Amino acid sequence: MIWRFIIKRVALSFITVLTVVLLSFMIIKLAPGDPAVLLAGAGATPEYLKAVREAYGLNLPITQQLTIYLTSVLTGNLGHSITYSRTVIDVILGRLIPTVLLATTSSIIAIAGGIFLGLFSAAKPNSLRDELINISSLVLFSIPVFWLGLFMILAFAVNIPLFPTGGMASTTPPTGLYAILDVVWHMVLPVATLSAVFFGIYARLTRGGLLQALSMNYSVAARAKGLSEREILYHHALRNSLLPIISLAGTQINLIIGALVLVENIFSWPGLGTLIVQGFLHRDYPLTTGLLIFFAIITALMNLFADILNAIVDPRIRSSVGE
Amino acid sequence: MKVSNSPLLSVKELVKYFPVKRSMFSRSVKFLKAVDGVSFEVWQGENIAIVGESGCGKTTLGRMLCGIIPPTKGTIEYEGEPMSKVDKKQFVSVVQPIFQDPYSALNPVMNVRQILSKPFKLHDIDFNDETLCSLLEQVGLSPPRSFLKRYPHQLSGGQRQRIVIARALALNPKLAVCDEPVSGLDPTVQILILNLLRKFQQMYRTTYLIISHDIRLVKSICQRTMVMYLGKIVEVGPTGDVLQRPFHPYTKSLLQSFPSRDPDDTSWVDNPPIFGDVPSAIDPPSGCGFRTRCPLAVEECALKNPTLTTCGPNHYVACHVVLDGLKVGGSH
Amino acid sequence: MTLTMIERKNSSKLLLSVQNLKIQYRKKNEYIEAVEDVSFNIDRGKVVALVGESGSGKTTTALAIPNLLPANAIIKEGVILYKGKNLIQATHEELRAIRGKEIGMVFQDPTSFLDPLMRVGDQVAEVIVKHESIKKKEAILKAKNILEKMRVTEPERIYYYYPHQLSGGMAQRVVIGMAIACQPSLLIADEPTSNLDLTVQAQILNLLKALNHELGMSILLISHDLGVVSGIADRVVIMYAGRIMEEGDVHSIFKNPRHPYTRALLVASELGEDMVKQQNDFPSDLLSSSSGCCYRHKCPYVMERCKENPIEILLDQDSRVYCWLYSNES
Repeated sequence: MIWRFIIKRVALSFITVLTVVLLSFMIIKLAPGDPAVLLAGAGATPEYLKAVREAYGLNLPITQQLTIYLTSVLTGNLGHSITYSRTVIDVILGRLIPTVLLATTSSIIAIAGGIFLGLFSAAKPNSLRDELINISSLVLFSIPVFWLGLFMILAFAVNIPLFPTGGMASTTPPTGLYAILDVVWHMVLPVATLSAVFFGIYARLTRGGLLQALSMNYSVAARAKGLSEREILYHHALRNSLLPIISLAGTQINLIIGALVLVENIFSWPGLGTLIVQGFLHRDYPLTTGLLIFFAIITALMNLFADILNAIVDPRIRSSVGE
Repeated sequence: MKVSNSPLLSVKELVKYFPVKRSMFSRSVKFLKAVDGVSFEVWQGENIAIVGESGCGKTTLGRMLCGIIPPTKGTIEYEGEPMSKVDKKQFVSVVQPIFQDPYSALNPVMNVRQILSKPFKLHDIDFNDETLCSLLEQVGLSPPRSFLKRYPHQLSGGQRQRIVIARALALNPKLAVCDEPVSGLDPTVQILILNLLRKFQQMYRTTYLIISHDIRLVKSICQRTMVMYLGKIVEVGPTGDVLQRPFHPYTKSLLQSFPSRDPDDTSWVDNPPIFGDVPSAIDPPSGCGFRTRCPLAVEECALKNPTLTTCGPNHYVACHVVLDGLKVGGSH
Repeated sequence: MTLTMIERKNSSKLLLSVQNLKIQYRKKNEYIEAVEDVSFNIDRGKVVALVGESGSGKTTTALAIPNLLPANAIIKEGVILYKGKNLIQATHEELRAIRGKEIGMVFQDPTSFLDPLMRVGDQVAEVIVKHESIKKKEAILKAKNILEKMRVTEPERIYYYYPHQLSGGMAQRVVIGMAIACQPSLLIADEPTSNLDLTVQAQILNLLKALNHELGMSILLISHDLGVVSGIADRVVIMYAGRIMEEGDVHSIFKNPRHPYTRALLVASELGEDMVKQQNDFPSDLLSSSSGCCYRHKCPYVMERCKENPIEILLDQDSRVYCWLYSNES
């Protein structure tokens, strides 16, 4: 049953997230300095410090603090941001859409483009086009993200001013349909940078997977049935080579988040990546730990999604977890 | 030829269940009953064969006898001594495995010299290249020096099997457990390996326990034959009797399925004795395991577990129908 | 050279004729001979067995017929006439029309020849859709029908199984179903029962024999096991190191083997004790020197003349041997 599999995976993801929450709690506790002093200010009187401790529950035993922390996190309360003086959830949600827009667009372009190029490459292995795709994939994923981002800005925003250097919208945004086009126009360079990095990996992985699938016995059997190479590629090899790609896409989410932080900062994209850097700069612990937990949840969810997708594609995974 | 009073190997009520994990949340853990209550004895100098098809538990049994996997229940005794009490080092000179698929049996990153010196090192026995070369010569690999530096992938299938045999017999063990020693090899190579096994038996009085589905091999080297089906012994007796006058319907079908090698006798192809596959060892049929494919099956077979009962000199069979028939026949 | 044999045959009975086939494998800059001057015929409705040990070139020969050789194999010479058409010169389109429709293939280790992600029934239906202009729905019905003919228990249910859920014997029935779904005239079966149990082997061979008898399908059986061959073949071709050693009617091969290698194989197939004294088991490719009989290094009857390439010697009605021992008989 696929449901049993899903339940098991959800439970595992939940445990993962819980571990991250525990770790983030420990980081706060281990961080140097008394949070009460930080909250009250350097010149606070001992009475005021005591009041602050009581107000924030810092005088309670650590286990009790943990339970309070856990229950509040589980109910969606990640605390108050110090710099924004709003709840962390509010701050995160306010910055969520630009990041989701950037990350999903880049991922879709990277995966779709990578698979497409991989197919293109594997259809004629060792041909000129295969070599060209191979070399460019290799180059793309060896380039550091920040370098590529800066290069993009210099090349296509400064020297040839086709695109804006940063931001998500013009200072005086147009209205209606043009507002959307304006955002798209701003997205071009950051999306190109972010997807370029992952593009190469997917292209190479697809090519390798396809070539392997084409050399498997079931492809020989397909040839013996009279199918053309094209039919074998699309009806048999592609599905089989998708399995490692799906797993990779799931585990790569943390790499994407890492690259996202860099790209958002290079292009001043108003998303979570710039937010986390600001959080660190201003020592906004509730905000940074909140973001940490949030990213952990996203990572766990994406892995979960990849596992479920894999189980849907691969009948062997399904039956290994129960009849 | 009984040398000591206790048999070389004595197996009592041996059982091996493998838990089959269905899923994290299913409470009922099922078991694959690979070996389900097997008892027998092997005397020095009397080669014994375990015959059966895939999934009958013969490979699991061989692995338990070599101490590779522990039994779930039951005892294995070597020369009257429980296996657990036999000293580890001594054990290696009592039993040695010669397993199927010689490629995976050899460590691919070790060359022949390293492979063959291992048993000697393990026992702190002095050896040099001469020792190893004479071993190689005994298994028919010549010139031996040219083989010492080779790695398994540089050898043919037959040569690899010779190395496996050389390694197993280096310390001349009393019992060699051979799991499908010739299957997967070319026919003309099979016969060379068989001759090699015979030669070693004459030289070192090694006793073989041959696990095989190959009746030709069994016929040519084993004095006693055990037939297994779904983890149980269904028939055991002197090889000649079992192969020529089989009692159990499964033994009969197995023998009937064997290629005749005679183009004028194609009955084994034209009338396959039984249909279908061996049932799963996770949910074996009640009563007699063979009843679902048995041409003789009656109602009783589903209800009672047949036990091995004598049907001739040293010949035992586990089948109600056959035994009932014998009783009727005997009363006449 | 061997055209004499072909001329003798009634051309309407002839289905496949392989003539002077020579195949090499390219490994880096080396060329390794896999098949050398191989010729044989298959008549309609007959079962021909290609018998040999590893390295004998039997599988290479079989794969060459529908041109399914790996990319590093080169057909240097020869003609493969199928229903009068030379397949070696056929275009990709022509070959694809023939594969699966005219020539079906069955392999050793059947599970690996099934796509692990596709329902087994769909894999049978796929070949029907490919070659017959019928709708998917009808193809599914037809595929279920074929599974039933392959004596798959509960075809309605097994159709929706995935390959990993099938036993080896069941997987081989599905692969045979795939091969014969479009009623080909020739079925090439490469070691179809090699890793299967004895009782299952008998069932699968029985199935192949039934296809041969009931549908008149010709079968080219590739095997290393003379036992398997004895139960099903009409004619036997013995190969060694890429060359044909002997060819004849199944009875003459088993009752009156001529070539020393055939005799060695027969003794070996019994695992009997009266084995002709043999030398080391060198892999045969090491010995395939360019001239002379390739078996002479192992042959107990070796003589001076064996350094020359043996010629084809026709013995009687339709058996032939490549061995100098018989040079006076012809």
